[in-house]
Amino acid sequence: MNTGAAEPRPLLDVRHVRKHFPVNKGTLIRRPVGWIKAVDDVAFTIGQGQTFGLVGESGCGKSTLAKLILLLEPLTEGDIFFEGESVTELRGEELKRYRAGVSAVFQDPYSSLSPRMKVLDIVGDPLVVTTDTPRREVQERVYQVLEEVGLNAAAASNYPHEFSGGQRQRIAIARAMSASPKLMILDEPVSALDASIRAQIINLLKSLQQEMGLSYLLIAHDLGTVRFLSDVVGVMYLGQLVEKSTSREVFTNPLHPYTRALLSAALPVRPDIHREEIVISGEVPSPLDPPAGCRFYPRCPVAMPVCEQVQPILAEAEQGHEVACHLYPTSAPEGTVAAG
Amino acid sequence: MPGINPPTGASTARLEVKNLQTWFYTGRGVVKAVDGVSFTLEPGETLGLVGESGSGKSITCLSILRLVPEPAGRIIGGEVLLGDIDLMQLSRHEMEQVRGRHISMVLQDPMTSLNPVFTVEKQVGEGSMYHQGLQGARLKDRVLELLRWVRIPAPEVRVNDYPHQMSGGMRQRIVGAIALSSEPSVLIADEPTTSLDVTIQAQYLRLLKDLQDEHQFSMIFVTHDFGIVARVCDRVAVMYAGRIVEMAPTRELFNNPGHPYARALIQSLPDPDAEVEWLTTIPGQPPSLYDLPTGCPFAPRCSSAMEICSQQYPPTFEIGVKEGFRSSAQGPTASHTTACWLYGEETV
Repeated sequence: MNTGAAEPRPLLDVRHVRKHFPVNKGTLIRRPVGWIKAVDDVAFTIGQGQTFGLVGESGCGKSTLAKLILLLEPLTEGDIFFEGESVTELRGEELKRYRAGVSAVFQDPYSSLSPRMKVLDIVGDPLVVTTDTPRREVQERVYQVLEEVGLNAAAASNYPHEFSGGQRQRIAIARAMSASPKLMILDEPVSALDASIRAQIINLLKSLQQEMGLSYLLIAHDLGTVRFLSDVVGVMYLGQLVEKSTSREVFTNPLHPYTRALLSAALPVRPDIHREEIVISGEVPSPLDPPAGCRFYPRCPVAMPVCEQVQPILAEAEQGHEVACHLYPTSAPEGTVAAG
Repeated sequence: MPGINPPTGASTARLEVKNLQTWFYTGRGVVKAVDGVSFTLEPGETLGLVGESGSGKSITCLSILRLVPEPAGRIIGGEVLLGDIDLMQLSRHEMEQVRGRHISMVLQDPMTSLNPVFTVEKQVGEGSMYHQGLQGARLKDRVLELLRWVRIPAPEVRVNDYPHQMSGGMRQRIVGAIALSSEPSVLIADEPTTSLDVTIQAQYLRLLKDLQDEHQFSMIFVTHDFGIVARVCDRVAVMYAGRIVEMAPTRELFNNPGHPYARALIQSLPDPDAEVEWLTTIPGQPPSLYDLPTGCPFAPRCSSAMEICSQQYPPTFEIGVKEGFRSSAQGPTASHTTACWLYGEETV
C-alpha cells in the first residue's frame, strides 16, 4: 500500500522543518553557546480525513513539532504548507483563517480549560476570535458541538469544575471543533483520563473524524491508542523521524531498532502475547549534544561502525515504508562512502 | 527489638490483610476510601492492585504502613498481619521498626520522594544507619553495594550526586535502593513507573523483577495499567470504589474475567497487537465516594445488573479457575474470587 502518493494535495505538508533553541550564557551580553535541536529536519504530510500518529519518548520533539504547526513557535528552518499554501508568513485575516482551520486538544482537561469561564465562552471562543460570527450564531454552534461530543446543550451555562475529567475532555474537544477546523492536533488526548473513560473518548474522536472528515495529528505514548486511531505512524527519536509508514506496517513489521524496542516495551494488554523483550540500555541523550552519526547509535543493540560516523537518512526501505537506519542500504546518504 | 519478633529470614513472612477499613471524615461527609479489603501476599509473590483513581488502592497501601493522613483519615477496622504480628496493634515506636525494615515503599514520583538538598549517599544510607546502626566506612560500603544492586553505573562517583543531577530513571533506582536498604520482606510499589518513559519503564520493571529474584521479597504492585499487570504480577486484585471486586491469577483474570467491571475494562483497552473497528466502552463514570449507591457501586454502569445488585452489596464468591490458567501458587492463592451477584449460586 502506498500512502499519500495517490492524493493530489495533502492537507498539511511539513517540509524539512527545524527548530533549534539557543542555549545562552553570560550575564550582560548573552551569547548562544550551543543549540538544542528539538526538531531537526522533520518532513511528513497528512491527507484529508487521515490520522498521522506521532510516537516517541519525552524530549523527542513531538510536542515542539505540534507547537510549530500551531504557529506558537517560529520555525528555524523549513516550511509548513496547509492546503497548498505556506503558513509561516501568514498575517491578519489569513492567519485567522489558518487558526480556525487548525485546532488542538491537550492532555490535561483540568489545566486546559479556564476555571473562570463558562462552557459557552470556552467552547465559543475559537469562533469569536477567528471569525465575525454574530453572538446568537456562536451560541447555536456551541449547543450543536456540545451535542456532537455527547454532552447536553444545557452544559453551556456551567463552569468546568462542575464536570468530571472525561466530560471536561469532551468540552475541550467541543472547543477544538467549534470553528469547524480541518485539522486537529491531539496531544496525549486520553492519557490523563481514567481507564474506564478512555475508550469512550477514543471512540468519540474516531466517530467525529468519520462524520466530519477531520484530519488528526495524534501525539500519544500509548501505542494501543495510536494503533487504533492512526492511518500513518511516524516514530521520532531525538528530534528526527526514524521510521514512517502505515500504522499496520509499523506495528507488524517494524524496521528501525528503536521502533522495535519501543514496541517491545509497550506492554501487551493480554499476557498470552509473548514479546521478545528488548530492553535497550541507557537513556535518551541530551538534544544539546546529540551523538554524531545515527542519534540512536549509543543505545542501539545492533549498531555497526558506520552508525557512529554517518547519519542515516529517512528513505524508503520497503514499499511505502521509510526508515532511517544503516541496516537498510537506502538510508546511506548520497555521496557518502560507508567506510568503517 | 522490643515488642515484635522480626520474622526470621525476613523473606519468609506472609502478609495478610483482613477486612481493612479506612475512612476519611471530611466536611462533606464520610468517604469510605477503603471498605473491607482482604487479601494475602505469599512470600516472594507479586500481587497487582489495579483500579482507577479513587478506587482505594493507594490508601490500602498507606494503611498497611499506617501512614494514612490523620486526623481526617482513620483506619477504623481490620487487621494487617505480618507473620503473626498485627501491625494495627503495634505502638508508634514499634511501627517505626517495621517501616523501611520489614515493609518498604516506592512511590510514583522520584522527584518528590527524594530530598533535593541531601546527596545520594546520605539518603540511601539513612535506613542502614537507623535500622542496622552502620557508620563511617561500613555505611559507605553498604551504600555502594545498594547502588550496585540497582545497577547505578559508576556508584563511587554517583554517591556524591544530588537528585537533580540524575535522570528520572536513575532517580527512581535510587528510591529503589533506599527501599531495599534493610532487605524488607515486603515491597510496596505505588505506580513506580508512571512518570517514566516507556523504554525506561521497561528497564525499571525488568530491574524490579531481577531484584525480586535476587532478594526474594514479596511485592504489592499498585497500578492502573493492565499492561504492567500482565508483565509483572502473579496475581491481581481489581478494586472499585474502595473494595476488591475480583481477585485471580493474572492469566486467569485476563482470559476469564468474572466481574463485569473487570471484563469491560479489559475489553476496552486499545490493543497494540490487534486492529479493531471500535473499542468496547463502559458507560457513565466512576461513582463519587461521597455518594455511593446502596448495593454494588458498579450496578449503575453494569450491563448485567439485576434487581438485587442495587439493594445489597454482593459477598465474595469463589469461581472456578479454568484449567491451564492456574498460577504456580497452590491453595488459596490460586483461587479466583469475585464480588458479584452473577455468581450467586456457585457456592459462597
